[in-house]
Amino acid sequence: MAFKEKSAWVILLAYLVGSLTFTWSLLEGVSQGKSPSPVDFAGFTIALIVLLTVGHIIIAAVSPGTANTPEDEREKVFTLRAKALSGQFLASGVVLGLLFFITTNNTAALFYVVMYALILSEIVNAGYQILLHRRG
Amino acid sequence: MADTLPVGNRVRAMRESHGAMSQSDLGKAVGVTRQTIAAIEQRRYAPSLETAFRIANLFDTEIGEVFFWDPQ
Repeated sequence: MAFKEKSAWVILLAYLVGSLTFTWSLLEGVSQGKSPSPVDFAGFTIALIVLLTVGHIIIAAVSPGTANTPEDEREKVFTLRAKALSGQFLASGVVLGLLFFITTNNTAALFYVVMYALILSEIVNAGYQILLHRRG
Repeated sequence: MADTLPVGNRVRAMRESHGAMSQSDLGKAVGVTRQTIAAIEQRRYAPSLETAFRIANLFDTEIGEVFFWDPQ
């Protein structure tokens, strides 16, 4: 497995674990009548950075020979194709959030729709890169 | 599985005739990963013109001897 594919797996797993944990705590707080706190979001961001950093350190330690090699031409094509697809998810989420904001004037909803669009776009980016690597 | 591309090649045969060079060694020599060489050999990826020239140059031959049009 190429280092770039391992990296995409780390990103995918970190975003899935981080976002699911964050969503769980968010829903738990809301069910108890608490409003979402910026501290929760900061915690999610820090946890995500830690997961991504530790994950990349581990895969670099496991495959030191390929860790520092730059993307080759095929991997660059995969990156561009995945970014094009994930960009559409992000743009759709932002437009959805803005439409929601215009109709409801709810700033918190705008924040969370855009944030989840960003998370989803990163998951799509990593997932599609993995798929392209697997398919060749 | 991705469709086979219409660009055929003799990379594997040439690699094996050059001292059983590994995919990894060839990849390093032309600046791509082992996985990319494997994808080229299996016709799942058509290399850039530059990489095709680098491979032909490494095997000391013309590009047409390594890569050819083969729509099947």
